[in-house]
Amino acid sequence: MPSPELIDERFDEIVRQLRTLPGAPEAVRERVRELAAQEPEPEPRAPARWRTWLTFRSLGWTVASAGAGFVAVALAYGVITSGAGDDEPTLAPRAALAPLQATRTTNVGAESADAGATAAPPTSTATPGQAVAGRARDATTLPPGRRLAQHTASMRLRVSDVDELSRTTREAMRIARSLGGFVASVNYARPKGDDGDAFVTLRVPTVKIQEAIAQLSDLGVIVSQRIEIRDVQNQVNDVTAEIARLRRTIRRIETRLQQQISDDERFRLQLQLEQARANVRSLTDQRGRTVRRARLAVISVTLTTREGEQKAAPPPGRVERAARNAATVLAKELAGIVYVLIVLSPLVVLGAAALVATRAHRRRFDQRLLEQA
Amino acid sequence: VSTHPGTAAVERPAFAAVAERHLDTVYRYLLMLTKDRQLADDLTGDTFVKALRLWSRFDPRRASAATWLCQIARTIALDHFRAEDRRRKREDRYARAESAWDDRPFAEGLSPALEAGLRELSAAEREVIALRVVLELDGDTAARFLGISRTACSTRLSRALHKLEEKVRSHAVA
Repeated sequence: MPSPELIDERFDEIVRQLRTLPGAPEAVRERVRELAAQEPEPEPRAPARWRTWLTFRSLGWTVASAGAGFVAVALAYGVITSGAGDDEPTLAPRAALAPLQATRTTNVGAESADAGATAAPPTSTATPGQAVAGRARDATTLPPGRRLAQHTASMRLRVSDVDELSRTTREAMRIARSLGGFVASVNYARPKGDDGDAFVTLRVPTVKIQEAIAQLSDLGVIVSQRIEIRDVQNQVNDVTAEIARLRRTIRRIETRLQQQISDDERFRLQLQLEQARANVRSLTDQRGRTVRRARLAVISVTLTTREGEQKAAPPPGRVERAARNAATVLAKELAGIVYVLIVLSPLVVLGAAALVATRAHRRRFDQRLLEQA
Repeated sequence: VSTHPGTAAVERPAFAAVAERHLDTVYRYLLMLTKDRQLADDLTGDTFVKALRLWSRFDPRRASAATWLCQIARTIALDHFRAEDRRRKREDRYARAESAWDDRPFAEGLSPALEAGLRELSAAEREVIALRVVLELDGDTAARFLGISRTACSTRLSRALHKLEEKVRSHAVA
């Protein structure tokens, strides 16, 4: 129906006349009838499938499903990678060390903190052979003490004042010596003011590292602690096997040299013999260094009086780890989506602009035609 | 009556019935657009030929049959105008041809003043009058048909009617 507000009474006569415009002439009518009668009527075709799918509702469902999928993947990843059975939030340093000694390659991210590390954690001072709960129990499947491993530990301890700093630094050095180790380096720094730091690097026999850390932990409040154990047994085994192979080669060459052979071959064998002996010497030295390093653990102790130092936060529980891992994956997924959008958006915008411009141009052209006609 | 396969049942009339019902609508629309009875005859025939070819695509949920047919008629008419435009530019004889059409009656039943007034309107102005007054399409449908906003459609109709009224009045006085 026409809008009454636009077609007011003064146009009534015009409207009346226009609505009496004649219909199609009989000749046209006949032609159209013939057309409709003669031509087979095509079957109705279903609307294009994409037209059915491409609705706001389906788009919304697609986006929601994709979002739920991303979140589900992130949660699954978080749960799978969070580990199991080690919900103990604070493994005491002494307890933590026992299983770790047997771990082939372990990076124990430290973060061990006890409210009062000065009050030493009780007593799961399991000896290396003892099993401790959870993951630790699995780690003991390797016979501790029989495999070579390089132990590296770092500790950050807070002490009350500079007098205590001086005393604890001396005490740390004494602990190393008492356990059969030595002080690799010490750096005592006390700038102007009441604060001071001491950096001590100790080498103690690996078999005494547990005891060393336990004693060092008593020197102050543990701010942070990190223990890393790297298994070098395979490396030593490989080197030993290579040395044995070279020695067999040397024996074979020596046997061959005692036989009747040409000068050329003798010269070539002698070169090979020298080379093999040099390799044996080099590998033996390398193995010796590795073994020596494995026998002496490195403990870096930082003592500080600074009040700003906070106690290390307890390690997160499994749920928190799962949530953190899931959040990390989710952030990566979002970053990927944003990246794809950033890459594609200029193309989409350009395509849409071209489409709109083409349609606008066509419409303007048609309008101009109609204005002129 | 048939339905779209694979979709909810939507009644679709037969093409013959649609053609019979809306033939006059299409013809009047083309007559208003072209102001030429002979041309309107030809374009009406072309419109239904094309409509039959495209009939399988007609979806009654998206537009009424009359609107769908008039869209096809508009495309046919625009194609004709484009061809005429090219021909006029090429041969520069459009003016003579147009003056020859002017001599023929526009339509029966119209007063000479109204017919003269309509001749002086542009096709765009006649089109909006055809859609809103002759075919009695509502504002939204007409606006969608023309690809413009409803406000623009109303404005265009208002201006066209005022202009037509002025022309009719001046011709009546003359």
